[in-house]
Amino acid sequence: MRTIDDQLREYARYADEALPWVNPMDVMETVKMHGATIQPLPARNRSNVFAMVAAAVGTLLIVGGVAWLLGGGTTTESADGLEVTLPLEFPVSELPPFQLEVRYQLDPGVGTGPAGVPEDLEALMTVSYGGPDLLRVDVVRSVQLFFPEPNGEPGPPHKAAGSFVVLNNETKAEYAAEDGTFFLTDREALFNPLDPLMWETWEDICTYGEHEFLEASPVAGRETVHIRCTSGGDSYELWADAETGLMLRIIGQDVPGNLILIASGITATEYEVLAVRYEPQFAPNTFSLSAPQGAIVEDYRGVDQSMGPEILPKGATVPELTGQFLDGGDFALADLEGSRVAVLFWGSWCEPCLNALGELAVVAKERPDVTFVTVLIEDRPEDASAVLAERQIILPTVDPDGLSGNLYGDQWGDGIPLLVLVETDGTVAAYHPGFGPLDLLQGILDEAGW
Amino acid sequence: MLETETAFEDFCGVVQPRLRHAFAARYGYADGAEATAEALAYAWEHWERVRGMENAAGYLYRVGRSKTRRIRRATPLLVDMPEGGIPHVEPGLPAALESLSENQRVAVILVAGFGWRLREVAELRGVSISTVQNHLERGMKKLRTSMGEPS
Repeated sequence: MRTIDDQLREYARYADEALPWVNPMDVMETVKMHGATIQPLPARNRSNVFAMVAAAVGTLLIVGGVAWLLGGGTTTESADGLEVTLPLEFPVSELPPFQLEVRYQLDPGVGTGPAGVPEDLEALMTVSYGGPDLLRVDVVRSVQLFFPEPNGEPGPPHKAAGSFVVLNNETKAEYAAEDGTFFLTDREALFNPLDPLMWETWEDICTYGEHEFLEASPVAGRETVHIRCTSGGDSYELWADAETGLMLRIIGQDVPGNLILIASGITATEYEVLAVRYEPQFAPNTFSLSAPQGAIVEDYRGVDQSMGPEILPKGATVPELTGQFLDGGDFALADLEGSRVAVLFWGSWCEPCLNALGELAVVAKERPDVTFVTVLIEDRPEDASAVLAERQIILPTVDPDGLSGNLYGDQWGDGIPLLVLVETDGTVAAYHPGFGPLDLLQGILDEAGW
Repeated sequence: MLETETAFEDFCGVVQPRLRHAFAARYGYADGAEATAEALAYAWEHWERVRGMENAAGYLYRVGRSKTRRIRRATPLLVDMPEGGIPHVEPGLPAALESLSENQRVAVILVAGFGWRLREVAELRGVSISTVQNHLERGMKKLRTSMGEPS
């Protein structure tokens, strides 16, 4: 039987051929025809792209302009004798300014690495929403995260208490209290101002699933609507503010919320608003972009922040890389100067990395002219050895010195799996984050002229 | 043809391959196609604003997403299995994919199926790479369990 990965690729390949294409000419023509008048939606006819576009434009015109962000209407359902009415979508434009005190219970289950799980996984944040395009999140209480120091000790807190983020329609300002850095970057698109929180409506969370209304109880002194969503074996319970639709409590897996502000790479099992104040009196500097006194300011506004090959562009000299081979002996990338070296950064805890590793092993067998080395990130050598043995993969594997935990912020890159091809003179021949099928890997080698 | 129209055609050539995959992964074949059409129509309607965007595909993903809330159906089937099935694909795979949460399904289909990079999914959705990685890991684990493959 084919592996799940193979089957997914086959299924996707078939889908890619079957999925329709929209003709840009039809799009332009339909928009032109309908102008700015509201048109009734034509009957849906999937075989007719023109009708599809017309339906799209009709909907767009009805909703109109920036108002696509906004929901409309309410839904009323009766279940088990409960009559419930609540906003169908999050009515951003109508939402009054608010301030929340939020508690997150973080999920230790995924992406925490091997350094163990801290006993206390409770984080607290204050969220200040000043209206469209005005948002501030303060970390009140952080958790000790798991990016270990080279000696194996847990690293310093990531986004320590006192850290904050301020967003307006042009700029994102981010202060990291743990090291006093203050970053200013451009804010890219005209997104929903609450997007930085990855806030979602009950309807988003219940998509495709079953939902049922349960007996409601107040949260943070507010009347709520209490919903249970069940989707594909996952179950969430939600408490939304009955008046505004604001999510006041969520229990479940992958609880939405801006965990990236405090804990990149892990998720939460519970989100709870401890206090909510609508129309609050904000402190004068709440939405100011000024750096705290003594902060190290780094202003990247107007600078291309796109991640990717720029981290180590082709031709750049690779950073130093040393460590110990799992089967003994010291490793130094510099010692391999004169050889072409393919370096894969991975971890046994990282599912996509294992695919990349397997594919690399296949290519390695066919390319004796290239030296293949794999480097562990945030991993225990014994765990990695077990994975290599189980999958019968024989590749020189290094437990590196000094690389930061999840590669984040490291000069090599910002995530794994990561493949770097190093030329004979120690410069980058190709830089490829992420993973793909074998032909993609072969393509990376081809593109590098290897 | 006018310069603007040519530019829009070129633009569609760049973003449509992304959008049709992403919307199909999220909403399934039928609603996904509709969301793609809606997003492109929106782009043309607001061409002056959209043309200069660095992450136009990500922006339009939100547009199509917002619109599709109104029309979504019960099942997000990526594509119907043809009569006689797809070679080397277990008949239960579509159902197993449907059972994933939305975010997991999008990550699994785009990364493991269509071969997107984690970074590309993250940029489209406007979330961190590690968030996408989490969804992928969880989704693949669940998929393996439901398909009876040892993880």
